[in-house]
Amino acid sequence: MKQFIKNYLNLIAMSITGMVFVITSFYFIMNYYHSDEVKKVIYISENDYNYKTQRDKIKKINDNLVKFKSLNVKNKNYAYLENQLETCYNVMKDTGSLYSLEPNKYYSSYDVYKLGGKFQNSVLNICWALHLSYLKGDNLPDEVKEIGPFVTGNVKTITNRTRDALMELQNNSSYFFTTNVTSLTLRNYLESDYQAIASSYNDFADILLNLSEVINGGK
Amino acid sequence: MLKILNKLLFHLKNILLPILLMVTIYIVMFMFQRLEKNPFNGDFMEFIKIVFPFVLLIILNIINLVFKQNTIENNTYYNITSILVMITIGIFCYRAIFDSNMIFWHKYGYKLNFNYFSDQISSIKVMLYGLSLANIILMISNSFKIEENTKVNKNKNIKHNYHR
Repeated sequence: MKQFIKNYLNLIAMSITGMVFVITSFYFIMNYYHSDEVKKVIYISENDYNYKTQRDKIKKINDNLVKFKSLNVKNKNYAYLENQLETCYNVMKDTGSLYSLEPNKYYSSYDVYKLGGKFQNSVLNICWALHLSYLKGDNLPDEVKEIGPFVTGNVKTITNRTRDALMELQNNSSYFFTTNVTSLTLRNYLESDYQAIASSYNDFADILLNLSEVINGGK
Repeated sequence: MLKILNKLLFHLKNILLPILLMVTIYIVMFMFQRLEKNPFNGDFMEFIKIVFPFVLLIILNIINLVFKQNTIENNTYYNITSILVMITIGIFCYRAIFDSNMIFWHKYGYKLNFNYFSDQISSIKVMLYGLSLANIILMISNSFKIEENTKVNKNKNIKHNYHR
């Protein structure tokens, strides 16, 4: 009887050890996979679509602003908008933005996260919220008032897209297995998140370019 | 050969466990600091809940060491699993402290990823409590062996007295 109990206890102990072995092996392998995923980097070339087109647009904005200054427009509504656009132009060219990014280099997930953070903190919070969000104001040209609602809608899309990309990047800080949906946190989304953030820069540059063309058209 | 391997794994486990406990306390202290919790005052029970599985296994290991329990010391499967658990917890600690590829490592300025570590605490508890439970059952099983030995000795003594 005692021999039976002893064997049975050994069997239980070995079963528990087996379960611990399985769980530990699972976490061991998953940690390797997760660390391998998060250390992936992306290569941003000078021919990257969003990088290239965004730079071209910012150069065109500068040309438009120079052109506007040379026209010496007296209308203070246009001058007001030009002043706001110049601030935004400087923000878009600031260090840490996509414009100032060094091309043909590898970038980690944290670099892309900083790029998105810069867009949120400088472009959206300073340029948009402080200077351009008042496009319905009285002291603006009529053409700007007309495109105002469209611009606001676009910025809303850009804001949501950037926020989602940043949250997805933050997801790489851990992994979960509670549901199928959360288990997706294991995968690497660096490339798609970079594209989302870079296209936000590109789309915002597009808005600024449109506004700079409006002030030149309404001289 | 197997005996040497068992001895090596058994003692390695006994060395690794207190080291891992210290590293865990180091990470948890920073985690509590960030959450403005005091582990020695109001949030003592929360702190104990994290540390207790380590302490329990250390106590059990000391008992194994002092009473020289063969069923555990010579159990290769248990020893290998224990080492695997120690390595995995070591990887958790290492990644929480050094893996700078995870965004939260940078975000709060502590150069530590609490988010990752706090998610692993539950799995650490499962692994350590599992090992402790298996250890206790093996200890009970070992005590049966001692009784059998005493029974054999008693029988031997009876036979010896009979022949006299």
